[in-house]
Amino acid sequence: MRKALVLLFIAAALCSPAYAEAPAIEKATIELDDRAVVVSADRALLEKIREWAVELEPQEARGRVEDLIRAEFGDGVDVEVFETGRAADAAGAKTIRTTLRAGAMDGLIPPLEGLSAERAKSVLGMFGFASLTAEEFESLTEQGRIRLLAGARSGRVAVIHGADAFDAVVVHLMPEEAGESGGKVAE
Amino acid sequence: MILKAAKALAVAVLASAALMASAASASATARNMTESNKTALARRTREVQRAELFRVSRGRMRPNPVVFSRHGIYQHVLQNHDLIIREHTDYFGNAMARMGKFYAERGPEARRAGGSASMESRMKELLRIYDLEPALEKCETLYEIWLAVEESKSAMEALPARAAMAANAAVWASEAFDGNPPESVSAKLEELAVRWSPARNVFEVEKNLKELAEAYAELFAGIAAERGEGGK
Repeated sequence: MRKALVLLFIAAALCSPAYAEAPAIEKATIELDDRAVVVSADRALLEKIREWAVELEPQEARGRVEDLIRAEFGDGVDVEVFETGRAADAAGAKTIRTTLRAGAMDGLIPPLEGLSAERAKSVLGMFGFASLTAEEFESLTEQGRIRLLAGARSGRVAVIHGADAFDAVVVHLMPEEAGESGGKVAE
Repeated sequence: MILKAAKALAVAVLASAALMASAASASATARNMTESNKTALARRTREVQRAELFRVSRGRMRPNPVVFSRHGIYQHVLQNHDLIIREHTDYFGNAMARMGKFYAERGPEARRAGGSASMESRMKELLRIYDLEPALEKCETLYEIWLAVEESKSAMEALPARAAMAANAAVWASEAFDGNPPESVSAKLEELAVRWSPARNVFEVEKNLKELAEAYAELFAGIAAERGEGGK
């Protein structure tokens, strides 16, 4: 009986971590002169990283902030680096504002005139564009826009404002697409 | 890097040379055609004017010109041959310049577009549209002569836009099918490249272009739907 109780106690002790509540992961952005870093970790760790980032020397951090974070806080911290400059304006993306007709005639976008937003998106998707309507783009947070621009699979993002020939379309080209060197996101 | 730049320069020089040769031969042909257009307009106007006078006066020739409801057009066609031909030639020059600019700027992929979307085919079409003689031969009234000239001008006005649409569509289709579009798509592109209804003014030109642009968009939407592409 005593043996059984001891075993039960040990089993309960072993199982308890599995039922323990996992700390909620939160995100924070560290903006530097040449890049922005999105860090995902639990709240306590994020606070530590924030305090550490305030003390960070810009010259020391240039080009190696992700390595410094990992060296300081371990590999468990999820770090996403946007190398295109300041995160606030997603610098590095070349933005071209045109219309459906003019864009198609310049070869910038495939023909989309008269198509509904969903059908236009499917055509754009076929050519590797990430696409969304103006309303969808406006509803994104700043960080959401940066993620969209940086994560576009072909480096092209089209924001469509309507189906008419002279409705606007805004095309964001990532550095590679615009023929410039430089990464989008450090994997 | 240097090798790449040299290669790009060589391609650009070759493309410019091809374009200049094409444009130069088109200009030379156009100069002759301007004269033949002028002669055809003068001749046909004279013939039609005689026939119209004869018809409207029931066989009696009258000393004064007959006043029609479209008097302005009547007088214009009768009196302003030089002006009509000069305007018509301006449209030709404008269309040739715009097409040359498009093919030069759009790069080799657009120039590779085959069939009616090719640069050579478009330049030939421009000359065909510029040639007024066949259209004037069919005209029975001065009003029809005016319409023939207006249709030719409108077609020349629209041709660079049609050329851009056709060449770009060919490039997108090639990209969609890894350089080898199926026969059905190529046939549809060819059909769209030559599709044009006569237009007499900017409003009709815009209506035609809108229909054409929507037809191209429908073609690609159909391809995307067949592949089950969803918007991102």
